[in-house]
Amino acid sequence: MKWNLPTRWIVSALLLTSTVASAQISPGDLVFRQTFEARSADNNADAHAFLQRATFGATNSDIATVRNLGFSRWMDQQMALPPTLHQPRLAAFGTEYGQNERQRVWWDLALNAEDQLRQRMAFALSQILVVSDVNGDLEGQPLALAAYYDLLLQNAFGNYRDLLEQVTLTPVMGHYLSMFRSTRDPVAGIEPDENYAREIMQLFSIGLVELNLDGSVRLDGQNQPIPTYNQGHIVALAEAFTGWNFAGADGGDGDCEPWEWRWPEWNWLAPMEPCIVTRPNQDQPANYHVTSEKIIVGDVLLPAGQTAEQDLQQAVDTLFNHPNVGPFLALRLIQRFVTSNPSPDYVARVASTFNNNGSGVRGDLGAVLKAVLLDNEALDGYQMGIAEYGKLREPLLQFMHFLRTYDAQFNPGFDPNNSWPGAIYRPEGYFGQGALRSPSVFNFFKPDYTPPGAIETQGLVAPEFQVATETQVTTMANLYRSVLMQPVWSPGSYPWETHYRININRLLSMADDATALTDQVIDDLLKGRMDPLARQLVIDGINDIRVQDSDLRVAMALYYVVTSPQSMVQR
Amino acid sequence: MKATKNGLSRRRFLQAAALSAVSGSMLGTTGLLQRAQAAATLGTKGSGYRALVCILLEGGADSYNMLVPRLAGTGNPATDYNVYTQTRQNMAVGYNEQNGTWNPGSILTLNGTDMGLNPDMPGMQSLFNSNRLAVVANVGSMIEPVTKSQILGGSANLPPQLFSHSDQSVQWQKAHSDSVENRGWFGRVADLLSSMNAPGPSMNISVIGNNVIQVGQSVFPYSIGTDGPVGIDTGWDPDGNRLATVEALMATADNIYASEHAVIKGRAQDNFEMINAALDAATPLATVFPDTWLGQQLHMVARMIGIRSALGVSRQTFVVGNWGWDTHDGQNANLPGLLQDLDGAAAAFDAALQELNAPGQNNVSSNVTTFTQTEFSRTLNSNGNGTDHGWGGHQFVMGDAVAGGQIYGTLPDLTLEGPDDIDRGRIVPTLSVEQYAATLASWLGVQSGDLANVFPNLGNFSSSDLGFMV
Repeated sequence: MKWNLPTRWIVSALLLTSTVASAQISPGDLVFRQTFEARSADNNADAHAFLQRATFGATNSDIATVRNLGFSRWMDQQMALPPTLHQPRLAAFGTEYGQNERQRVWWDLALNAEDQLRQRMAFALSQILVVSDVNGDLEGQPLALAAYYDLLLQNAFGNYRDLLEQVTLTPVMGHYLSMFRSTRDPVAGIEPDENYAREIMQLFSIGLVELNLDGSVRLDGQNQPIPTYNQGHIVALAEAFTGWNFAGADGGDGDCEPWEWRWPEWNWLAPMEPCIVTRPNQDQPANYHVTSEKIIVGDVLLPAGQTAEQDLQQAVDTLFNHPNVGPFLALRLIQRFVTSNPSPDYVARVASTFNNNGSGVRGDLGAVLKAVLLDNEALDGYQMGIAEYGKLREPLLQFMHFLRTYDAQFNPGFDPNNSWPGAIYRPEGYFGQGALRSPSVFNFFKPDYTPPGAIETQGLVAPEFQVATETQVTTMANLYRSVLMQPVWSPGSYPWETHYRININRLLSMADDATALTDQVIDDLLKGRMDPLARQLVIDGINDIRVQDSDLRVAMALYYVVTSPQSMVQR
Repeated sequence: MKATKNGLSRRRFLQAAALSAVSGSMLGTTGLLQRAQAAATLGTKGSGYRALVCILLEGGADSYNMLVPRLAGTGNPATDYNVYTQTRQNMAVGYNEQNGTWNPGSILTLNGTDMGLNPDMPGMQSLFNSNRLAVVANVGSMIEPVTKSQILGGSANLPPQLFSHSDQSVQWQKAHSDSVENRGWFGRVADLLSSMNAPGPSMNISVIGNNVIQVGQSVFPYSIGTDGPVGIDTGWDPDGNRLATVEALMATADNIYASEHAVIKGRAQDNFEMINAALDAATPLATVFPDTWLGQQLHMVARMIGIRSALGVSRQTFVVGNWGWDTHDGQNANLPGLLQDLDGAAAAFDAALQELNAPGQNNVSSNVTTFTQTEFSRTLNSNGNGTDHGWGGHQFVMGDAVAGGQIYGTLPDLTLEGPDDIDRGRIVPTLSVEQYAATLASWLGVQSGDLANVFPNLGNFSSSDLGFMV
């Protein structure tokens, strides 16, 4: 199956380079066995592989449930679970919380929340609709960041139109991409802030160039890509997004006074509201919202005289209804959940679901996620032998998968005054990523990133390699070594980097048999999908350790398998 | 451990195969011969040691608040503080928020010019005034020279996606704005010069992580952390059996993504073994660096330069940098800290190079040149409490080999809607990234005949050497 060319072609949509269109690719020998609604897991390995995509790690009980219900019904059941919210957990710390505690809540819920699919979707969305506590304004707002994450959870299977609007109006996004208090003031020489206008288009909805349904770049008569917007559209959208402030900034009297417009702190948890001048004075513009007519993307006219709310609604509608959103979001979600280099047909199928969920609804994220996870290419890509199928696992997810597989428990005696679990508090130092800790709005992984070398030579991309430096891959391997060995050196203790300890009792009981131990670990972590030579290497490695050192044997068996090349990838 | 031994050789083979795929015949005796030949033909530029250090200011640094007019009423719209404040309003250096007035008194003097430096850049002021730092004015990504009227008239040949972070950052790193190839100019330079180094770590070393600037056809970046390279630590391992098992496992990768991961991990371990021994043996630097990420990155670069002889390297590039320069919001609150960080780290790096100068030997401070780059400067006018994406901006070059104490290029007219402003103070560049980079690449040792290959669009511009290197 030759998908290299079309894959490259899809990715060039993100590279924004001009490429020659190639012929439509047929699905070739793709075998459509059944419709996905009826698909069940044929074996534990299939259920495990599915759950590694859809959750923070497949447990044995999850595997049993998926095998019992089938993939689709398991998703239905998960989607019906109420969201386990982060903000209340953080608030329960009383007054003693900051971003470190927000990370502790994230680890706790990623590992333990029942609504795994929702938590996993929120994490994926947090890498598309990016905000970050690395930003100076947000660093001191852990509760607001948790509330932002909750918004992603609550809308995880809702409509992208609603999510886009709600995200736009959070004070968190308002500060991160500076739509908050954006205005025009000719007297003071101030122009509307262009930041959010630019990035909501480039990164949250339509991207830089027009796309076909399958994610490939649309070309004009000269075989050139067609920009979706120009600088004038950005300026106009920036004008449309003016006049917003903290909720209640006008003090409730219906008039936004100059000091109220600038009042530093107000309500970080409620959606922003227009701050409307009804009694103008000489120290402020007549209206903080720019009321002139605007021509935004697609040359859509926002008529003069609209309110801030009307302009925002029309602008979000316009972006949401742009034909790019389906393929734009499809590729990003497929890359987060399933594979780095989806076929154009796979992208088109997911994008079609975005455009219409089957009931005439556009933007149904629950239906989109089903299309992503239940597509034949997702479920059968490995068995079909598609060489580029799969991806490098996100390093943080790879670690979470390990902890969940072995029922890791947080130290009940954890003392925040005398402990500093670096892998939780500064996850990027180990994993190159962390929840809401991106260095910029471009996220940790750009969709078109490809490491120079063999992957690039094949015309493929591999976004997760953007953080896979020589430093990161070894630091993470050493983290595994440390958290696995610490209980050996100091029985009963919890690893200082995480304060999570895994349960290895089952493995200890078979530690004197290197082959049985190795096979159990390979079954736990990879459902047996390990190279035979690799398996033999692990067995030899365990046999190199004295039989009486059973805890060391278990630790090293886990270390060898979880840091093996086979464990680094999802397929 | 039979399997382990096999595995080990498999892994070395895998790595060698990967390396030879990317670096041609540079391994082995042929490579050594080539290296000797290359060194012989490079002439005077080929001797000794030289390194370039790139400081990436990610997000678009407001360089119009770094190099600032300090004289009111010069009548020159490029250097008049009154024109500057009229345009920048509450973003101007010297603006008093309390009473809405402007005063240039705090701006640091640059000897012999009408311009000054931001008050938070005293270290760089001192370097400029001792002729060891130069400013290169109004540089930006372009394909060919363009004018405001060409742009407004729609006839200009412009780089794609002007004013987009991701695009402009990569265009700067490529120094080839309209190329679709994911290759940077440090990479292309290293393709030509890396054979001057003994076999070992890549000529291109990054402390900021993966990047485009250091990717060549045969040379790829190698990443270290602020504490140096990180190796595989398998715990107590007296016979090396555990490490051997890990390395053998790496050779069993059976998938393109798994293989690439193993290649990176293998490279990490090989380089770690070589570099770490040299770092451990080196005398620690007495120079104190700021305890910031940028400061610690430059500290690591200085330590790497300190072991250049042990590694047998003649040419190197380094990339450091930080984020946070995208000051749409809170610019007046945030820019001082960013500038103090840059200034303090740059001054400490200069001091460390002076410390590394050995009496009676070639001074390493004359052989290391450090320069800034950022994807664009910012709009001259204000969005209320910050600035938006601009285009052309000023860059800073420092080192003992820099013909410092001067501003190179043409300072733009700072008038809003003036001849250099497209809109809102987005300034049309008058020098291209290629010209800036080619001046540095020539100093590092790229022969003039190779410049057109390294910088394919260089010929579109009038000069390939801006003269800021001695």
